Amino acid sequence: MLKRVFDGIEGNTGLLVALSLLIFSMAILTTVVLPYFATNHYQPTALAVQYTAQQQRGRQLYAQSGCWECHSQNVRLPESSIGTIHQAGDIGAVSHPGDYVYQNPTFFGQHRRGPDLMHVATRWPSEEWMMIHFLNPERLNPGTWMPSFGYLSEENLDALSAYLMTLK
Amino acid sequence: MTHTARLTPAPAADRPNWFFPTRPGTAAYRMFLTGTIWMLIGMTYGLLMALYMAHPQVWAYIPLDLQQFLVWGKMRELHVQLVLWYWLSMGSVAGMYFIVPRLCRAPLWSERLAHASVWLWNIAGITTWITISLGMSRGREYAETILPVDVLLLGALLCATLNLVNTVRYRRERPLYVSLWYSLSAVIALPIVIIIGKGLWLNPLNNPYTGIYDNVTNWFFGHNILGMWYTPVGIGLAYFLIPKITKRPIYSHWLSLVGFWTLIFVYPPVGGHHSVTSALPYWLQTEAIMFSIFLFIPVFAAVWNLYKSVQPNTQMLAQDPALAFVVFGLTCYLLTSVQGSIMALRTLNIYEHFSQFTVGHAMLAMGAGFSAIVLAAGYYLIPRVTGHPIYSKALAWWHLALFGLGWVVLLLFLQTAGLVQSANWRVGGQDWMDSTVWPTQPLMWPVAGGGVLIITSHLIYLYNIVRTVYDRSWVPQHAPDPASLPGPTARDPAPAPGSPPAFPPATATD
Repeated sequence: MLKRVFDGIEGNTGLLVALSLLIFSMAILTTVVLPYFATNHYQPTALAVQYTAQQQRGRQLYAQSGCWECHSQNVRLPESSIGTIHQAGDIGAVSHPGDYVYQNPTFFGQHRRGPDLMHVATRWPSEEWMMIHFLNPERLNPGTWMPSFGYLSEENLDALSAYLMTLK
Repeated sequence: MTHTARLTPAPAADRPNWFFPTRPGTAAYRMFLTGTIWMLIGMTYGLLMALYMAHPQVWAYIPLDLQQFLVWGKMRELHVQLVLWYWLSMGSVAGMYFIVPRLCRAPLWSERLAHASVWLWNIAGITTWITISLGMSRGREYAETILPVDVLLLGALLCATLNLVNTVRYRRERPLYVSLWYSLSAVIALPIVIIIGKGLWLNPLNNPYTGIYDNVTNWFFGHNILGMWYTPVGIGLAYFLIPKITKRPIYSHWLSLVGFWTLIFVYPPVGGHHSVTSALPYWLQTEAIMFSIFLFIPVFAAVWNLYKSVQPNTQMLAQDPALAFVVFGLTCYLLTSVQGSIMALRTLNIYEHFSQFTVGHAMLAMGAGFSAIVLAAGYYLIPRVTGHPIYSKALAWWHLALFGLGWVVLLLFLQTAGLVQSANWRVGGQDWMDSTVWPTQPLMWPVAGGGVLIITSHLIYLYNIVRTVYDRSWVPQHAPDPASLPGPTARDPAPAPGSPPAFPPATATD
């Protein structure tokens, strides 16, 4: 009986394709459609920012220069009190879905070759430090993996700083 | 008085269209070779990245104007994009252009359309290279490319989809072998994954998703190009290559069906495991983790079935480099799948996520696993398309040895570096540079060394293939076995019985 059913399916390309698509659509339903309704009601938290033009430009540069390839913006629950950039726990508060409400795209990140930047503005040394760090990070952190962004214009670096300042 | 002067000149023979030849197999062959070039370009970026991570100070010697094209972020985007979309995808499609007509006992539906996809794919590759170097990026992992690239790539892909689906529709062999199931599901699912994952139907110019839903769709895209594209194509190729090379049927047809149906049921919902313990809905993470564990079923079904198919001819692993490549690739697939399923568990994910361990995991799957299977397909298809036997089997063995050794060294040190980072991060209290950057930098030298071995192996391979393709020494000695050549088409009909064989072809390589 089961063999007859399978032989029937195997001989019928259309049925095979339709069945595969049906099964695939279940995944689309549960991981694309349902999450849309599950995630569209979050209230913006105090960290969510409606970006100004300059900050938006900074975000764009953040995407284009590939900052997000090495810096995550995603503080996970278990590391909230241990995660250390300079001092224990200074990684900041655990990320909330509401933090990301206005972000397009979000920079969750998958890798941390550099520290998490979700709350980078809270451990912001100074404007000068940041500029030197963009232009010549090696001077501040010998051996760092952060490349020099000296090829960006001063205006663009200001925009990038303005965006990073929103990450409180 | 002769008649010579009055004779009309013989009609000029049709010049073959170099851009869109119709000789069967040429599209597969060109797709594969151009994909190999992209592989070398993409892997060179990988090597540069490894050298950078071992000793970042060397970048200071690069002029600032050039540095902007070699910024780490852009190099990584280019490495991932070129190696995935232009080496592995093109190699996979080349493999399908070769196996699908054979399994259908019919010519490819349109060789010209296949050539159109080769051209489009390469143009998309060049566009990707330029746009990402200039910093035109969507800022979403695996989905960085901007609209022009998406259009070109989808165009190329849809040409391939139309071609392969129609080849199957007009087949002469009624039963569908399991490789065809995998191939069909891959070429049909991938356009859907791209369109939904990038939201091209909502807003082609920009990313239409905001907030954490962006992350949900990003990893629907990012994981399903692995699960709905590279995995089914790679397994489909292995299901073709192993029985063909060993000349024995597969171990169990039933098990291959189990593997197929569980794969397309279990693989698509696992994208959320890239953001475990993040702000993503908890149930979505749990669903992804659960299905990641279920992945053991399709993985073990396919790998067990294929291992058992090799088992009666284990000695052939030492005789045929292509078979050895397939089995190496399958082993890497098994390892990476076990790793991936376990890495999805919350306890382990909290520990190892964000480190170089994850990078090594992805490279084990794509670079070592499916690349090896696709390379085996190349070793199988190129002699059969061109009619030239492989130039040197010894060089093929050197390719395998250096490729395998390179990957073992690279992955061992890269994943160890990841574990060092994780362990130090877990302890806490140390400055970022002390805990995760400095301790791992020495481990990056062997990673770069492994990369040098892999690239060397591919240069050997390229030399071998070029010598194979341009080799004319075989012509007087032996014609290829007609059974191993592509079937007849309307344009290139089979010779009438009794007529002399038409070998060698006028332009064996077009």
